[in-house]
Amino acid sequence: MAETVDQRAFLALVNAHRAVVNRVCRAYTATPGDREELFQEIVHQLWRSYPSFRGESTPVTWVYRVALNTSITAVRRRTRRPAHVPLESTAEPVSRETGGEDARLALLYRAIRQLDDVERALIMCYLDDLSYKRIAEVLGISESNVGAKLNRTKAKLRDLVKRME
Amino acid sequence: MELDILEECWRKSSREDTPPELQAGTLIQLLRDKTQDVRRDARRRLRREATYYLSMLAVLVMGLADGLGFKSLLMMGGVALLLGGIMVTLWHAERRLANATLARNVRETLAELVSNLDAAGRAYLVAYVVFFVVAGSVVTSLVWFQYGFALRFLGVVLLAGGAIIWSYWSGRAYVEQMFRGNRAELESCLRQLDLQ
Repeated sequence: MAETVDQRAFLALVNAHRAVVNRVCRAYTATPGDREELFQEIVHQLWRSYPSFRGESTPVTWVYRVALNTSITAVRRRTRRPAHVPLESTAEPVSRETGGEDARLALLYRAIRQLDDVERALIMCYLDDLSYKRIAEVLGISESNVGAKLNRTKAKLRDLVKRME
Repeated sequence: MELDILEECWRKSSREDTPPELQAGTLIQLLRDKTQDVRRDARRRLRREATYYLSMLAVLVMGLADGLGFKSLLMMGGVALLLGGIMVTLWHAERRLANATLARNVRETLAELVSNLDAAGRAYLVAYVVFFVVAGSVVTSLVWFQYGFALRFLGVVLLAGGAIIWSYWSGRAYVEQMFRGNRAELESCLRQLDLQ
């Protein structure tokens, strides 16, 4: 598979949004191995969906859609064998889970992982400062429903954090 | 700890914590491996199904074949056609499942996947029932040719009918077992989305 113009453009797009993909992976998986597997699944899905990406939505909305859809439906592929490409980008150093801000972040991720799939998607979009309109576009629900769900999810997350401290 | 503090922590990490860039070589390798994985999995499931059908067909053919004459060659041809039809149906169902793109919004994607799973389940069930219908028809036709409308023929018709009904129910149970877990998960997500 030779590198083509499409692949170069795709690579630039993925690299520009790799932090988003990484955060989604961290929210939907508990172990570095699962995270790496999910990261690869998402990149693969992004590549498969890339021909249909015509800029009708912003790149970040598109990446979010594919990443969240892949994460939510990853159950379909749990039995598949992992690919053999090591991705440093998805491996999480143990030191991040200890001390100061890293510990707070780890606590937040642990709490997010206790939410259900849709709540996780919602809270991630919120934390990444997507507007209600964008969140509604990603999830396929109304903006008012986004608001109502978000309030409930934030309250649930607050409770979870308290219990985990 | 206040949620606001954690949110700020998240946003700070979003700005600062960027993983290393993917390199072109890694990307190409990843895409190649993933594509192969998807194909390999579909092939494995199809091989497993083919084994089931081949075993059943082998039993049927051995029971009915009478030497290596014209009739048995005709039967072999029919068997190959039937198996080919079944495999094409299942391959199409697998392809639809594997090729679902996940670029639409979450609700549409989940609804499409549920519909794809249902279609795949139907394809598996139809293939299975058709197999029994064809096998039953072959057996009853042969008995009719050999014995005419005798009591034996009536018995075989009843047995074949029973086998077809059984194939429907056992096929449904098999398909449910195969897809129920995934379908339930997807439907649960759809319900979460609908919840006001």
